[in-house]
Amino acid sequence: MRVRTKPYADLIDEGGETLLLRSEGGLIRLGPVGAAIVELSANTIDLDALACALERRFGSPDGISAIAAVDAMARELAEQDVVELGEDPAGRPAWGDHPHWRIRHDAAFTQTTPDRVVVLPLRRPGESPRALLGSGAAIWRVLVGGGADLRPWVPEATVLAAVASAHGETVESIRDDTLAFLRHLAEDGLLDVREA
Amino acid sequence: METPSAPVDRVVVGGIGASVHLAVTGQRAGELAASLRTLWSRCLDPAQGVDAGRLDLHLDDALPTQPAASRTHSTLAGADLGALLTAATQAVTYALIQAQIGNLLLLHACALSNPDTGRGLVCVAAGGTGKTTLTRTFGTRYGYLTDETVAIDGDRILPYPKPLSVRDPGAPTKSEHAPDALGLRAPRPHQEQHVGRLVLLDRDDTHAGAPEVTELGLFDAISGLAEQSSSLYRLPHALHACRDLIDATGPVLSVRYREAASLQPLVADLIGTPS
Repeated sequence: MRVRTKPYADLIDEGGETLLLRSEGGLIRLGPVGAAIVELSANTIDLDALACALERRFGSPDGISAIAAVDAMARELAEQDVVELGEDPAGRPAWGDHPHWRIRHDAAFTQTTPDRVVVLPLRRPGESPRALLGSGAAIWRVLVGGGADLRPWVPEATVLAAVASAHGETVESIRDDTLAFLRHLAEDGLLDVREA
Repeated sequence: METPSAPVDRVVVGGIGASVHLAVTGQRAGELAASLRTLWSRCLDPAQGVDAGRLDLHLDDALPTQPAASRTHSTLAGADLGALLTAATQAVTYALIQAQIGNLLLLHACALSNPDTGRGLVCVAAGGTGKTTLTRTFGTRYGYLTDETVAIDGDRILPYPKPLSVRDPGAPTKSEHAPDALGLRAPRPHQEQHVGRLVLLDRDDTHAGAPEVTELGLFDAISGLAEQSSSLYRLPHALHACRDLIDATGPVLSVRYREAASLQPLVADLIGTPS
């Protein structure tokens, strides 16, 4: 799904809240997340990209995935005639043909040496930091974004190709172990997965 | 219905920075024009402003009693002088508002000002909820700016001292009265009028005791103003204009009251007591 803010007459901020005057009349009060959706959707944006941007700005929502939370908010704003929703262009599914993996925003990590990454799921109080070594560290490094976003959604195929290349193996030969490792990290609260 | 003939008389009336040309025709055109000049005495010969168009008024005994309006409101014709004058007031107000939509902040409100200072009190309220009563209660002491439509440019009020529609004792309908006939005070000639404070009126027949005055937060205040402005979205940067106005004049007050006279201390506190 894609989101785009509809033209509006005026908008002001005050004390963390936003007041929007629709171009055909009618005032809408927005909280910080709603206002951010209006701002980030000035140009058409995919829901997943919007969810990523909001998660970076506000952190992960409680008890619900970021995508589901933003989906609900975008639909509510569409009912209020603030944004309009559209389908993804034909022939380009939002998530391609493969699942995507991402480091959770509440997972802390630090790379201590090239082959050692220490990770900690902050959502689980009392959990001890854990070191990922060797191929585990290599997989983690693939998931770390190279740009401003350290937690981008990474296609599963990209992870598999990178691990296979690092070990001089074929993708088929490392697939099962690598996917098992990714699922293990997700169960431990360190990764998000988005199915195809 | 007869087609109105060539105008016998012309009267130009204005307010909120615009003017309407009234073309008066019919068998009783002279009587109609004289009544218009009396009722609109404070709105005659307005300074150059936005042209709000022409309104044809036709008074003739051969016509039905109730004035008939064309779809465009540009022609009113009838045999009853009072009914025609009431319809004309509504049509003039409509034409002026249409001419200034998108140019000014337009509010359903009455406004009075302290003639010593030009500091105005703008009381925002829906139709039929006490604006004219409040105007008559305080308008003998404070300058009468308008009882129905307040137009604001920045923080400047553009007056519209129109006739007031008042129900005479025992009469089934309202009739038009000139502000002079009701003893309403005029502001000083050529004095600029500025918003001193914005108030949202909440007249409540069940309210007891002194008026209940509440300062509104910015968004509640703008929401209240927007409810009484059908064209806010047409004004460029409307929310910024409202915020600037409120920043300059102080928080908007919501006032719950029963009798207009009970507001006297509040009015004096907000815009002073005239000498």
